[in-house]
Amino acid sequence: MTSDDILIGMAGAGGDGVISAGDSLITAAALTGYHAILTKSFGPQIRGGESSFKLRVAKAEVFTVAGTLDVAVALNWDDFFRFGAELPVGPKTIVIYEADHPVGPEGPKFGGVRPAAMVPAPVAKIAKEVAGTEKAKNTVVLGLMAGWFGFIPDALLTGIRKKFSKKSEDVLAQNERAFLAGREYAEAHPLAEAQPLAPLGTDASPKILTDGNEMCGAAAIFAGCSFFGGYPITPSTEIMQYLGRELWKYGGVVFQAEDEIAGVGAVVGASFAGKKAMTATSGPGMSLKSEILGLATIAELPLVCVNVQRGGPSTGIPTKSEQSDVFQAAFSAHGDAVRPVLAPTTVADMFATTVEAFNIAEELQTPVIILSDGDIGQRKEVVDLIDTSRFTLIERRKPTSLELEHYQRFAMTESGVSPISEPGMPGGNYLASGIEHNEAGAPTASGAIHARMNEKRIKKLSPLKSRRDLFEVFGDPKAAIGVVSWGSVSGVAREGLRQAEQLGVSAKLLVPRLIYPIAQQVYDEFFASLRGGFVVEQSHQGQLYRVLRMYVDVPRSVESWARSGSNPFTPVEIAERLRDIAMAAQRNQSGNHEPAID
Amino acid sequence: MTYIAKPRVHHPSLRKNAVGLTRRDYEGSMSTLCAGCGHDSITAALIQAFWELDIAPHRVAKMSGIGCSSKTPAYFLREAHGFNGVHGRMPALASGAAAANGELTIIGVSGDGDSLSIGLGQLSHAIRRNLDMLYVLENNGVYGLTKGQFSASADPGSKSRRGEANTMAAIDSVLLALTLGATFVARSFSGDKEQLVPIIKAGIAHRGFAFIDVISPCVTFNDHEGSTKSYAYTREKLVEAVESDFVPLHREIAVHIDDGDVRSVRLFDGSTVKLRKVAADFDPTDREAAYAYVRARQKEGEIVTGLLHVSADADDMHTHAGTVARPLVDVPFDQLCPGAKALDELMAQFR
Ligand SMILES: Cc1ncc(C[n+]2csc(CCOP(=O)(O)OP(=O)(O)O)c2C)c(N)n1
Ligand code: SF4
Ligand SMILES: [Mg+2]
Repeated sequence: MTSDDILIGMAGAGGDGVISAGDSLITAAALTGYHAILTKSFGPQIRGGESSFKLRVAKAEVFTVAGTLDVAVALNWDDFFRFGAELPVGPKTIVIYEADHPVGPEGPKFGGVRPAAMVPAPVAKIAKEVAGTEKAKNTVVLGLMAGWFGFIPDALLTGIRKKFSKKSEDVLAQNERAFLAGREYAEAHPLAEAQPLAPLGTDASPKILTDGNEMCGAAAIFAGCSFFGGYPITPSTEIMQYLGRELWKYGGVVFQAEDEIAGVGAVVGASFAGKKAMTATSGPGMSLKSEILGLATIAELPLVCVNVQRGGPSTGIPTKSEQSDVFQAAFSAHGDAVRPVLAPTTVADMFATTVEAFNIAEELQTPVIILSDGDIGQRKEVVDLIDTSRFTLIERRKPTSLELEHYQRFAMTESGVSPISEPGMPGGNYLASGIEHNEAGAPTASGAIHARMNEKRIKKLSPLKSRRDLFEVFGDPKAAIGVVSWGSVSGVAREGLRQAEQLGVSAKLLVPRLIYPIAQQVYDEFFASLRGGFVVEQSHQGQLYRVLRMYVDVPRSVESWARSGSNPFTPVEIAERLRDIAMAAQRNQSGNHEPAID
Repeated sequence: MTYIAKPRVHHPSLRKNAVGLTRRDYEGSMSTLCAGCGHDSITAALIQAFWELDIAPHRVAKMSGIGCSSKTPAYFLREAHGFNGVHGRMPALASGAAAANGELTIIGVSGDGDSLSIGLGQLSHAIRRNLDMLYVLENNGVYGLTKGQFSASADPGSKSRRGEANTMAAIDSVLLALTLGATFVARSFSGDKEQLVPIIKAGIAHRGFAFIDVISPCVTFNDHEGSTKSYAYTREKLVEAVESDFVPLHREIAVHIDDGDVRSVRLFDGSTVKLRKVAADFDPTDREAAYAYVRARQKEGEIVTGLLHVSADADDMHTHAGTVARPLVDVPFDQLCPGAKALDELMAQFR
C-alpha cells in the first residue's frame, strides 16, 4: 500500500544537521511537484542547540502539520523528548531511532502509546563507515527515507549534488556515498509497516518553495511598493530581509529604522511624498506603531502595516504563532478610527492578501493592517506558481489640473475619498496633519467639522463590507452546522471539515479575509441556517468571536472555541467536535418536539 | 486652534526674486502664537532666507512635530507642502519623504520638548544617518504648548514662573549634535536675525543634516527673572564665536564681513559660507575644538553662538542608502511596479 500524505518528524542535537535534512526533503518534494509544508523548531539557544522539524508531503494541497506523526526520527532520545507534544507519536507512528541510543526494556516514554514499529538504525555507524564522518548522519537519514518510504530518491540525490557541489569534491562524494548506503541499508532491512509515498502522475504542476513572509515581500514588489521602513522582530524579520535583498533592484528603498515608531513614521512620510509604502512587525512593535497608525488614518495616507502575530502580551512567546491581536488591530487607535484589517489564510494567500491590502490602502487612502501569523509567516511551503493575471493594481486618486486650481486635500466627495496630491506638485500644497482639519487641511476645533470628517473617514470604508470576494465558504452552504475560522487556523479547519465530511457530517466553514470592519451581512447569511457550530481561533479570549458579537447577532448555539498560542488545533479535533455537534443535534431532534423559537 | 488667513494684497512695486516672487509670497497664515514669542522671529528669518535663495515654495516640504514651535510651519511658505505629524516623530516622517524624493528641500521645525524629550531618539538617528534637511530646534527650555513645564533643555537652577528651580542637568543639543557627528551645527538667537538668516541659508545649501538650535524665549512661561532662557539672560550671556555670511553659487554679493581672519567653506551645491572667527581660539571645521570651546564657555555661564561646525563633504542618507538620484516620485508607476515578468523571475528563486 502507498500513502498520499505523509507526516514526518525528526529531532537531534545541534550539529546533527536535522534542519538541513528537512530542507533537503522539502526541496525534493518541491522539485517533483508534491505539496508540502515544513516547520522548524529550535531549543532556547540562539545557535547550536537541539532542533527539530515536521514535514508533511502530500499529493493534494494541505494546510497544516498539526497531528500525529506517520514517521518519527530520533537521533537521540533526550533531544527528541525535549520537543514533547510538538512531535506526537501515536499507534500508527513508525519510530526510527539511532541504534547507538537503544531503548530500555520498558521502551521509550510515549505516554502509554505503543507505536506501530520501533526501528533501530545504525545511522552514525554507516556515516562513519562510508563517509568517514558523523557529519553525514543526516544524509544517511535521507537515504533511509528513500529506501523505506520511496521518498523521491532521484530528487533527493539531485538536491544533494546541488548542495554539496558548492563545497569540495570530497564532501560531495562522501554525501553521495552516505545517501546510497542509507538507502541500501533500508532496502536490505525491509519495513513491513511502511507505506511509501504514492508517486505523482505526470501532470503535476510546477511549484515554488516559499513562506508567507517571502510571499509578502514579493507581493509588495509586485504591487509597486517602493518604500519599506521597519525594525527587525521575530517572526516578521524575513519580510524586511527579503525586501532588503530585492526591493532596490526595482528602484525602491528599504529603511532600517532605529525603532518601530520611526519605521512606520518613515512609511507615512514616504506615502505623504506619493509612494506606496509598507512596514512589517510583530506584537511589541505593533504596540509602538499605534500612535503613528492613527496619524495615517486622520491624514488619510495609504500604507500597509503587516503584523506577523506571535504569542503575547509583551515579549510573550516570540517563536510561537497566535491570533491574539484582533482587538489591537481593530481598536488600538485612540479616537474614532476605523481601519481595514485583512488576514491571509495560507502561505500562497499571503501574496494575494498583500496585493489586496495595497489596493485597499491606495484606493481608500487608509492604513491597512495585515494580520498574518507566525505559522503562515515562517513555515516553508510548496505552493502553486502565483498566477499574476488575476490581479489588478489600484493607484491613489491624484488631483486633476482643474482640481489643482482650488485644491482641497480633504474635499468632501460622495465616496469620502478625496484626490491626494504630493510634494512637488504645483498648486497641490496642503498641510497633512494629525490635528483635525477642514477640507482645505487647515486645523480646526469645530465640532461640526470634526463630526463631518469622522463621518467621511469612516464612510469611505463602507464598500469593503460588501466585498464578498474577501470571504470564502467551504462545504454545504445550507448545512445546519458551521464553523468560522481565520488565518492559519482556517487551514486546519478546512482539513477538519474534509475529515468530518468523510465521517458523514454535513457542515460548512466560513473563512473571512476581511477581519475588520465586520461585514455584518455576510455573517448574518452564514449564521441563518445554523443550529450549532463554533468560531475556532488561536487566542485565549476568542477575539474574533468577541468582536463578531459586537456587530452581529451570533446565534447562541455558535460558541467560541479558543485556545492560547503554542497549543495548536488539529484537523482530527475539529472533525470530532463537528461530529459531536451533529450527533447531539440528532438526539435533540428525536427527543424534543418543541418547535424552535428564534 | 485656528489659523487666520492673511490678505494677499501685493504692492506692485514689491521686489521680486529670481523665481518672480515677492517676500510676501513666502509668508504663511497669521501667527496665533503669543505676541513676542521668539518662534515668530525665527519664522520671519526663515521667510527671508527662502526668499533670498529663490527657492520655489512647492519644492519645499515643511515637517514638524507637536508644540508651539511645531505650529510655525503654517506661518511661512504657504505654497509649500507641510506635514504636522505627531509629537517627537518628525525626523522619521522627514526620512521617509527624503527617501521618496531626494530633490525636495526639507525643513523641519521642532521644539526642545519635541526634539530633546520625547523625540531625542529620532533626532539622534536623523543626525546619524545625516538626513539631508534643515532642522531648526526652537529652544525655550519649556513645553510652551502644554503650559510651561521644564523641558530637557532647562538648565539646572533655572527657575519656573512659579519659582521652582530645575534640578536636573540640561541636554545641550549643540553638544549632542557635535558628539553624534552632525555635519552642520549652529546655535543662534531668535533676537538676532542678522546672524540667523545667513546660517539658515547655509543650512539649506548644506548636503546632509543641518542642525540649528535657536534660543527662542517663551514670553508667557519662561521669560522671567531667574530663567536662563529669557530674552534678557540670553542677550547678556551670548558670545558670538563666528560671524558667517552665505554666498550663493550664482550670486557674488558683497560680503559684509570684514576681511582678515575669514575662512571660506564650499558647500555641496557650490555655494560658500564665509566664516570669520570672532574668538581667536576657535575653528569651525574642527569638531573637537568646537566642542571644547562651547563646553569651556558654558562653564563660564556663556552661550556660544554662530555656525559652530561644518563638514561639507560627508556622505548623506542618500549615499548611505544608495537611493536613486531620480526622485522615486518622478519614476513612473509602471517602472516601479515590475509586473508579471519580474515576478516570474522572483518566483524562479523559490524553485
Ligand atoms: C505623545 C504625546 N505626548 C504628549 C503630548 C502633549 N504635548 C504637546 S506639545 C508638548 C511639548 C512641546 O514642547 P516643545 O517641543 O518644547 O514646544 P514649544 O511649545 O515649547 O515650542 C507636549 C508635552 C502630545 N501631543 N503627544
Ligand atoms: S506659550 Fe510660549 S512658546 Fe508658546 S506661543 Fe506662547 S510664548 Fe511662544
Ligand atoms: Mg519648548
